[in-house]
Amino acid sequence: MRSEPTASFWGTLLYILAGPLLWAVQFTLIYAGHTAACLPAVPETLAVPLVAVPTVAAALAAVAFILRQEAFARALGAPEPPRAAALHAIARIAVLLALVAVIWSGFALALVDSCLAGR
Amino acid sequence: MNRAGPDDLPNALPRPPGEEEKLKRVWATPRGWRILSAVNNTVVGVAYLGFAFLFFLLAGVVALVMRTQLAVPGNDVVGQDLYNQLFTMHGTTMMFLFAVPAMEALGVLLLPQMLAARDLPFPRLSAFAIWAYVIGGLVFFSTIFYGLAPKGGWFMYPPLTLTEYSPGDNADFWLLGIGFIEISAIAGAIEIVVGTLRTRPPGMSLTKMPIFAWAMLIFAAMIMFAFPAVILATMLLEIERAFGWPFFSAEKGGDPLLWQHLFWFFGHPEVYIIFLPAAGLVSMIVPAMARRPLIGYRLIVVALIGTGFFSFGLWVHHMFATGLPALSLAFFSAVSMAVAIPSGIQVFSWIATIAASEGRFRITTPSLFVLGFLAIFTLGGLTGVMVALVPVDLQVHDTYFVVAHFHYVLIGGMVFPLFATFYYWAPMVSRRRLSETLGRITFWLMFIGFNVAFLPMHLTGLRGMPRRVWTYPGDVGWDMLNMISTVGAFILAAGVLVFIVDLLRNFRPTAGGGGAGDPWGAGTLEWLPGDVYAARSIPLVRSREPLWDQPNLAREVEEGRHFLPNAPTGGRETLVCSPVEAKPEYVLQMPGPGWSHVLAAIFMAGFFLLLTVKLVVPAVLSGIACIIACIWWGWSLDPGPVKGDVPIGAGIVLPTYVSGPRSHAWWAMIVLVFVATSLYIAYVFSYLYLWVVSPDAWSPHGAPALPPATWPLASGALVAAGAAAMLLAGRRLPAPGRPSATAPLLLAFAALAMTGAVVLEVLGHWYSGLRPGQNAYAAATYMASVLNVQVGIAVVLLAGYAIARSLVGCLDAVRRVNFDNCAILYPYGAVQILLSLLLVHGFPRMAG
Ligand code: HEM
Repeated sequence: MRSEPTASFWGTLLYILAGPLLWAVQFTLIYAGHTAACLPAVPETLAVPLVAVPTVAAALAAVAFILRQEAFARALGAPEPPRAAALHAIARIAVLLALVAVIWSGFALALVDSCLAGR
Repeated sequence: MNRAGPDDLPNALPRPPGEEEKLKRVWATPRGWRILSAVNNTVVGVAYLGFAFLFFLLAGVVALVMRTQLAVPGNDVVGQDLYNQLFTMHGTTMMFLFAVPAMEALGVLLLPQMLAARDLPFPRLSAFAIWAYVIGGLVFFSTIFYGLAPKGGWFMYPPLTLTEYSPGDNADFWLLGIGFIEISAIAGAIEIVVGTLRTRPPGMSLTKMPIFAWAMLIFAAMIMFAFPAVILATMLLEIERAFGWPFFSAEKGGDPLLWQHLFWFFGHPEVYIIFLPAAGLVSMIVPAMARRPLIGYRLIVVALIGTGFFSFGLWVHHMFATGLPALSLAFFSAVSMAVAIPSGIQVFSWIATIAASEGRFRITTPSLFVLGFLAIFTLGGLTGVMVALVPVDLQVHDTYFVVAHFHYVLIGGMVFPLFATFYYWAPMVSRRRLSETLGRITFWLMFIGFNVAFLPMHLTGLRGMPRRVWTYPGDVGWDMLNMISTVGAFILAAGVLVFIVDLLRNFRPTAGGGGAGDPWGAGTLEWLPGDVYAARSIPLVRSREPLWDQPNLAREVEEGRHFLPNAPTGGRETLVCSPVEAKPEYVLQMPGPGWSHVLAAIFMAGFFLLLTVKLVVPAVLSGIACIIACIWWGWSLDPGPVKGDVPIGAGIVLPTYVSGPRSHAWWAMIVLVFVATSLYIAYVFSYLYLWVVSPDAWSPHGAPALPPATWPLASGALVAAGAAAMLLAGRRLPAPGRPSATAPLLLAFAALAMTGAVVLEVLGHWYSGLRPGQNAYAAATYMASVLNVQVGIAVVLLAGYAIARSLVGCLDAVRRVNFDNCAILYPYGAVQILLSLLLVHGFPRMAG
């Protein structure tokens, strides 16, 4: 075993969970934001920005992560490449998967009326 | 750390005489009736699995009774009321007493072996969780025999389950049973998280962990975030039933849909909590049978993580028919479909691994069950995508189509892998293997029986037969399909019966000793030769399949040439490593067999049971006895640094006592704080949800004006002062052997301050004229204090315990784990109380 600096656990955790966490934040924001926009006292049109902004922001953040992955790893204290190649692959694929989910849920905005009763 | 190359093993031969005998003595399993006090993971793990299987059989018999009743139209084998009890009991038992515990049991049984740890880090905690589960489960199940079983379905929707519509104790027994499972699931989750992250062997970095360990880690993390929602839900329902706080009563501003949100925020992840470990097991069996490494390890890890996360974004798909805004439905529909991607990744990885074995894949009983799983689970997944589409769901909601769908995913996704597991891992804990012939008969009966029973249910459902009906008319085209389903259920049961025969004939548990050896030539560490102490020495790991890549490993480990081949502290111990890269950090001293945790479980059961039947004084006495047993239990757990540092091999000398963020106790407390945080977030959600539904009930319109700001300010100041005292106490812990009263006094002040803060908050509302039964706002307001009281009690107990330890000279600046436990919970409690004050006093002022 080599004696490299010990990786930060919390940093590594954040690093490999970056994608799913992004999705979780986006999903919470669009669900809560859209629920708020459909309250009687709030204009319905607010639903569009409340859903679109977190979706676009999360998608951009995911792309940024993929482009600057090494910098993220370093900043978070995860083992840096080329160490732990599998860890980096996991983080990257997880972000890709999250990106699909982010776009999939956000895209619903283009297809469905915001506050129409669902039944 | 010294280098330890391939030929340069951590420990040299010959080993000192008597070393192995000492290990055997230290780890010996108690004999005779004393086995009840055992804590070895292989002993309690087998017992845990055995009880889970017993509940599977019991709930299976209940299912057969239901299928008999439904075989022909207009049948009267059981009446309507009993049928309601039967499906509730079947669903609840299968989900809470069989599926989740079976997976936890496998975690307890298999994880330490796969990680070559001597045991999980808190052996008595697992044993406690098991006893609590066994007692709670048996009492809960027995209610079916005296008509006290719940009848509101396994998800117990209010208003049906409120006292107006479900008088009597039946529903309370459901809440009681679930309470036990909640406690034991969370205890198990702590054990599994800390065990997986900290007790891996040196060199086994996160990405060299067996997939099952990943699956269990994610399983445990999901329990941490999902169970608190149902804990809160059951608390709210029981409080409404017992004291009339109207969380779910629409006429007082409550909302039955709040239950659905909370229940399904737990309930949907629950399905994956059951499935992920099963998928983990499959990912272990497939490579062993294909005799090659799993294809797509990284993809599978991502799939497990992704499923874990997405499963929290699906809960509303159980509520598509409740009238939510269309866009909400679309979000949840999207995630419900997206979750199929990670499941698909896993299925394709398994198929690819089998295909890449180029005909070397062995068809054995475990592989048959795995192939059966693949077929059935994939079909269940496909109907899952169908019901994720809102219009389809609206058609088939609450029909037998859904019953068919969830049995395909549950039985396919969990029962088949479990049977594969029985056949695959039995040789690890039994002197004899299970029979291949009987195994194959079991498989074919179960596979055919299952499909005969459940495939026609899709059609029964599409033809409009609703679920949860005790009988049906004969002229609507459902009779033949139902008869076929019943025949199938009995064929399936015959398969299980053959399995029981196999068990009785061949399963000979070794009570912790080594098993029948590795019949499969697998690559992972659970197949190392071992005895009651697990592996003789803890291996240095270099790859994911160490037994394949290091051909001499088994021999070296058995000769004691790897780490910690002895018991240097003279007691039970295992190696604790860093969580990411698994570098050895310290030697953890562990407790052996004992009775304190057994008594704690019994008295805890007594407390809840007596409370359910409204015997308050005996319940309180039992609760006090439980606390005393816990103190007795805890007293021996902090041995202090008396054993000094010990060598483990390769020139490495490790401490036998650590405190702070490196210690396993710290990690357990952090997990507990996560659980408490999720519970609190679920509460904040409920508060805001009730406001969205009934803003009119909120102060000042629908309830008395809030107490003047001096009340919350005083409360906040008290708790802040307490937190400061706690901080100071940490700095004023005395040096070893130099007792001082400062730290205990500060601790006492901190505990009193938190108590005072909580009391002030309650009094403020009481004097303002607000009563919790008044409306949903009042109930939600007082509920914040209920949660704060809960944390307050935990803090007072931990602080009192730390003070007691300090008075007898067992707590100082070095030996400080008991202090640290309280010091971790306190700031959490303080923040929770401050947030409650902001929410309860600030939000109505802002919104009103
Ligand atoms: C062993 C074979 C099994 C058979 C023959 C069977 C049969 C049934 C039947 C007849 C129902 C009632 C349907 C109704 O009236 O609505 C039912 C419901 C249910 N089953 Fe099973 N089942 C089996 C195994 C399982 C397993 C292994 C699980 C879970 C791991 C499970 C979970 C459930 C649940 C959650 C319900 C819904 C209960 C409710 O409506 O509240 N079942 N099953």
